Amino acid sequence: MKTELRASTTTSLSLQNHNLFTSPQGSLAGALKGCLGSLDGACIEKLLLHCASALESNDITLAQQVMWVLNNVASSLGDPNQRLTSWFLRALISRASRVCPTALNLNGNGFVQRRLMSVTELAEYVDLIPWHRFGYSASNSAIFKAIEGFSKVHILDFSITHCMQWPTLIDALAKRPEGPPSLRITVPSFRPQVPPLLNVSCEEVGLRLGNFSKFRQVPFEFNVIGNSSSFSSSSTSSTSETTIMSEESSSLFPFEVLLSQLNPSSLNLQEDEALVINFQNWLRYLCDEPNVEIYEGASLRDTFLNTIKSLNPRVVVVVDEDSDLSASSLTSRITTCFNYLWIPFDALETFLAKDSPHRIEFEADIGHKIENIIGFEGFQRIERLESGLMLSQRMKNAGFFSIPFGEDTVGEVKALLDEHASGWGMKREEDNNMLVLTWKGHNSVFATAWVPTNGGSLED
Amino acid sequence: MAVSEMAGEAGVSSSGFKITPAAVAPSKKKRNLPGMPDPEAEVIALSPRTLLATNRFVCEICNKGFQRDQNLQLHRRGHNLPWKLRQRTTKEVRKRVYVCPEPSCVHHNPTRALGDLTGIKKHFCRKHGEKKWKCERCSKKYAVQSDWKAHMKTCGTREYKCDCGTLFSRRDSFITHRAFCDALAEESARSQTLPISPEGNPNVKAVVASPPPPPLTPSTTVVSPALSIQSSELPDNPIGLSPPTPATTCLTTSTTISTTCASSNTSSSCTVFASIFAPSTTTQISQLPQTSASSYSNNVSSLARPHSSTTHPTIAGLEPTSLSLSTSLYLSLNNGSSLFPTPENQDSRHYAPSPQPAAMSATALLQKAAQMGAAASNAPLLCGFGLTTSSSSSAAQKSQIKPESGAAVAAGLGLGLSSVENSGLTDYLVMGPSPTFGNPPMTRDLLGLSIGGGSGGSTGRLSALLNSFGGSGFDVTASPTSYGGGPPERKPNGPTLL
Repeated sequence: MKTELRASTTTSLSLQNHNLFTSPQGSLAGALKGCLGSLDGACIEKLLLHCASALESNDITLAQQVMWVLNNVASSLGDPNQRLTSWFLRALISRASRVCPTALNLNGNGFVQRRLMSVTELAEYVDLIPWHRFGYSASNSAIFKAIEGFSKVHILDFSITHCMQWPTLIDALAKRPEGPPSLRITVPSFRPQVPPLLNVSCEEVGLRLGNFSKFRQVPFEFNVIGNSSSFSSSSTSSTSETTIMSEESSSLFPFEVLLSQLNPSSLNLQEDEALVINFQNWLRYLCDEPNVEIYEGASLRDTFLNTIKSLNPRVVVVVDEDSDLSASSLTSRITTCFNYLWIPFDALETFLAKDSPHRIEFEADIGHKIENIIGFEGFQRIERLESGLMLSQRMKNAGFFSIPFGEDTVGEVKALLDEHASGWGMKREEDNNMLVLTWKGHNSVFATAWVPTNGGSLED
Repeated sequence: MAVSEMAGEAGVSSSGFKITPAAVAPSKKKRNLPGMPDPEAEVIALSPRTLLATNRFVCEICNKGFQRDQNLQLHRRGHNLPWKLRQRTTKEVRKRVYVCPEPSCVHHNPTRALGDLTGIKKHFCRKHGEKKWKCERCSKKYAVQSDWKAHMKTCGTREYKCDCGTLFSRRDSFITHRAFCDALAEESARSQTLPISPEGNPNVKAVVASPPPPPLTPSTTVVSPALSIQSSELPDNPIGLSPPTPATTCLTTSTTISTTCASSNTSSSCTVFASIFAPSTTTQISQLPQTSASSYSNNVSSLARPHSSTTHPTIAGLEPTSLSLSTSLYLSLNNGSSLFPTPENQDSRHYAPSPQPAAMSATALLQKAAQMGAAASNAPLLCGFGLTTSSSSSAAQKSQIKPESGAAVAAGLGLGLSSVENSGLTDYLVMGPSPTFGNPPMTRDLLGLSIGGGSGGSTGRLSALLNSFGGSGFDVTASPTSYGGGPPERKPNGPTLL
């Protein structure tokens, strides 16, 4: 019913009940006559787009009029459309304010004070809906298979969920018939400042994983890299590089600092170790715009992937949300965003009560994402999600080929989804060996696994 | 997508089919956009009766009901009745998607259609049907029998219990919780070499690195040096924490997160807007004086720091927002005077300051928005929008902003604009890939509104917007000419933007 937004063509729009409309006469009321009794998703989307285009064309009046209408629709405790609208509206207001900072300048902490969770609360959070657990399950299963026969495993973990993925892998490794391998997990010290937020450091998280591993008798080590001030032991060769960078610059260009540490010595890579790279909801934070000055026309994202490839990992697993939210056109992003994020909102609606604090938190975190996608531009727009299809192409360009998920993996994931109420499904995309979590048939999260071409160690 | 009637199947009862018109969506992509079904698909709209009907196919001999025609036919063989099984059509069938008949449902919209018949039936039943099935053990209720059955299979069968007392029905969530649970940390501190069984151990409080209280001081320092935890050895001293001292040190210094929401991101403040959404604004905003920017700022700053110490998500309930704004808007309505002839405003006073938008139809809302434009006042409502402009008039304006009425509209809307028309806002909105965030210095006037002359310009734009709601391929030139004698509306930027 709704048409896609295309920059070049003018498409006609209609609403469901367009034939209920009378042709508006010269009066405003006439134009309003026959408007839908209640604002449905399509209506809201139109309003959002109108607001955005009004902002882009400096028509503040119209923008505010639309915002006013939206504000009367929006409600953080209403139905999913209302909730989604409230977050979109915030994002638009945020955007409008950004280009016109007020004299108050209250050192904004952003809109929403998102509280910090404890580790156990986060553990609960990631299991509210299978949104995250799907990716964990698929990835861990692929990792488990890829490290078969190795007695030492090193995981480079790039994720925003603070190692929630690993307990189940540790558990699986502990039960390995030939005995568990020794496990080393390395995380970057820098984490994009996005929810979910923890009230403890990553070291504390590492401590707990260590406890757990000990409990399960899996030899375990936890490392943090990416500080310009210090990093893991044998890094003498990179010291000169990093001393040039001051503390300030490391916080300004954290990914670049991290990139500089992705080398065998900084990471202390071992020959007999299976190197696993885990990207979970993370690649989106690497800038995808080509950078002529630094990366010879490639983007940071591509350069990062190339560097990863050069480490010769055993397997690279990539999980993220299946939507393209990085278009340069604002209106395009709004449309895609609205037509994608209704999915988690709908899922939450199905399982949690209207006033459930967990649900509100989860939605607020999505709202944070929306605010960044719509409210910001340039380097401040850090959420640059690309869909599974696009990501797969990028991986191929970087010199990886995809490996399929085994039948047992598929079985495990299916079993996981069966334990959740129906509505969740899974499908396999054959061409990219992708597993996709679906909600009521709509793509939500994708999972893929890759090995480097030309010397991928799986051929050994 | 085109809509078709469901081809009548041989059911005894007649099922009411509803046709829902839908637009044709041209699409060149083979792959569906995430979140949207195949644009080529056929949209089927079934009636509630059809969706809820379980056994539509009834045997005339014994009145036994069947869900599918095929099953009925097979049954009829048993009565020695003539039977006929329909072959599956070999020609290619268009993919079908199904919408929910309930108008307020999100799946009523064809872009949110569900891909299979069973799915839509179950959805309708679950969402809009009566929950007839109840689990005895945990009192959960289900509308669909198969859901209830699925639940009965697992309810109470598998339970995992953590030492801290929490119960889990799924193993992976149990494992994840257990790994991070304080109870395990405490056990590890005490244990020596033996693995600890999941079954209860007395909760002895040991000195462990427990999580610190939520940090109140923002700290952006990079975390302390890499902490290597070797748990392969089994030392004699408390384990898992290797040297406790550095551990606790790093805990207290290294929380980088408390500044939340990226203080590095937002250069300008949007906590001004937080004021709209903070629950405490309910009374405050409506009592704001007309033109007192300073007192407003005081209010805002006091509202700008929501409670970080609570344990509840400090989203600051949006619910009161619409209420408070509605209320104050309502107040302003009474204060304002109309600059425009308000045509048929018979429902303009039906404004109910209710947070439930269902109480106010889109019609009324949009109309209200237009009429807000008519009310000229210095209402400081929604001033938190903070889209202020200078009061200087500059000659070179973008063409879209007509010099007449924007300010009036804005004023009426109470959206906190001041003299929109002569707005320095024109220069700042560079919303391209390379934004310039530098703004010309402007005097800010959050609340003051200097109203220019008024006529139908901006409201005309609104009406152009409204027109875009009205009908497919709506010819923009057919938009209402005017209703206040204003200049022609900003036509082309309406629908074509979409």
